[in-house]
Amino acid sequence: MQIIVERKEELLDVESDEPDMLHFILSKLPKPLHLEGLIVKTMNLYNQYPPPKLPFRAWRQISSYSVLKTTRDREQLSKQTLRDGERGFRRQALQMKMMQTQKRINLLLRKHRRQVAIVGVAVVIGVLSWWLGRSERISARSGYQSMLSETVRRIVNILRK
Amino acid sequence: MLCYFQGYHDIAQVFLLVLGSDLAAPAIARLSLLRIRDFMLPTLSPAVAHLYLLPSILECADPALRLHLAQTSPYFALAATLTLYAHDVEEYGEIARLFDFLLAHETVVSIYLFAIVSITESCLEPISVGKVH
Repeated sequence: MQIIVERKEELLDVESDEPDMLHFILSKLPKPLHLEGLIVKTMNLYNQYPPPKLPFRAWRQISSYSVLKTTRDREQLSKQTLRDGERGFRRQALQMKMMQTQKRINLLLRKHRRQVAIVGVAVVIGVLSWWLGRSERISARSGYQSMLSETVRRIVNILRK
Repeated sequence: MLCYFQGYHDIAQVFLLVLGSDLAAPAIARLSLLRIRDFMLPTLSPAVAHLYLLPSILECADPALRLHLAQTSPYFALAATLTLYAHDVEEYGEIARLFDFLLAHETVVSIYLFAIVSITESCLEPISVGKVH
């Protein structure tokens, strides 16, 4: 006699804070596979919830160069050449490199945010001063410029604390 | 240009068994560049992006199960999806049928299949007393 166990029940029996055990169960495919039944259920799920309709905006996170998106149209895929594939590879590799660089920059900015803020404010005020200095309509130019210098000094002192 | 990944040979083996060496070579070339290219990039992140669709698909198939698995990252699906299930399915008839199905549809269907596998039935044979001793 065979014992049939719902895989879902098997998973729910394990506590959700035991990811290693859950990982162990999920990484093994059931035996026997009952493939035709799985195929029917897969296509039902896919037709009911096609990729663009998936929740959590999951599909938007996928790169437009990913094969997840470039294989959507069967007819278009059949016309793609190996050269198209090579081009896609290069573009994806470049996109990955740019994302890694962006991540590193974000990390650096987070690490040195105080210094970045000081420099940013100084640049903005410097540009403002220059613009005010060039404007002929402001008669009390020197008055505004000395007021701005004093403001910059005060802001920088606050940020340094 | 393309980077080898652990399990690529599992896929190539199926093509060789089904098509023979003459037809397998051009087929594997197309497969590598146009269908499993994400797995052959210099880092694993494009391949891992496939796995991070699983929670959303599970949410549609079985929200309670998705919540239960919320603390488990979807790397349990890596071996199966990376090798188009060739790493796990040993029976020739089954893997050939599976490849027919997967290659006739867009790449994402492989992830939908894994979601269904996660919630489907499994059969356990009873352990006999003889085997235990």
